Amino acid sequence: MSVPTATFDAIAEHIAQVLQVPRELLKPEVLISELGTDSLDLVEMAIDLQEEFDVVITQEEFASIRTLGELQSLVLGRQ
Amino acid sequence: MTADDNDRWMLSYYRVSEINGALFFGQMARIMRPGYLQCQVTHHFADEAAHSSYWTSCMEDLGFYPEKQRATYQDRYFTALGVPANLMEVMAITLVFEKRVIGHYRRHLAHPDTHPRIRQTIERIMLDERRHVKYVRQALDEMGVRYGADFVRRTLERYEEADQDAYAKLISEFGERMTFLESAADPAASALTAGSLGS
Repeated sequence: MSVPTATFDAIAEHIAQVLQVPRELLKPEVLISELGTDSLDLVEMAIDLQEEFDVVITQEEFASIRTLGELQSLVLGRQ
Repeated sequence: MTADDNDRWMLSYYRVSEINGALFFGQMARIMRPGYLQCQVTHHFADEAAHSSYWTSCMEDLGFYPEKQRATYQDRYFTALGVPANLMEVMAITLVFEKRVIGHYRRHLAHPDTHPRIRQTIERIMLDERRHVKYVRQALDEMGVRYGADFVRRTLERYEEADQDAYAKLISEFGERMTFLESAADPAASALTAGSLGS
């Protein structure tokens, strides 16, 4: 299975699908806490990204990032 | 033998915890890569949903309806441990949780006044819970390759420690509801009271 590159567009597409939010609202500066989701949705989002982009993010790392741009950098940096 | 208010509260708590478990594993099953673990997690999702149905039927047979409850034991876990951020952490929290559930149900079974209909439901559910522990243990062993065996071990230790606190708080908060469990004479229940896991 080929692993896609974790561009911001690719990440945002996944988040939009998992969290059911309009793709156009997802920009690098958007705070994860602004996505208006409950904690289980965030678990689903985090694991979906790791499964898709074949990376590992720990609970501690996930808790330390604030924006979608930071999330994308973390995922890309792990590839 | 009749069911009382505590039974109604307790069984309603079991029921809503199983519902939340099903919703959680349903979310996981939806996003996982195809393969053995996806099959197991999907089965787990179906089991939890079935368990909530068993409790609903059990209560109906005992002549009462479930209480509306929202807070569950899983909520306590996420408050105590933080939400898991990767699949290994999900499996680790699941292992600790399943062991706790088995220990708690064993404790309920050990009580001599447990209604036969409740006993029947617990015994049916326990068969699935044991299978869950087995597949999750296997998954965690295999995840050592990707996540590092030491990281898996440390995560389990951290969650087991938090589980002790979460369960102690549950007993403390709902002590009156669970007094009957304190008198359960099962040796495994005594081990639980002392702080070790029951399975």
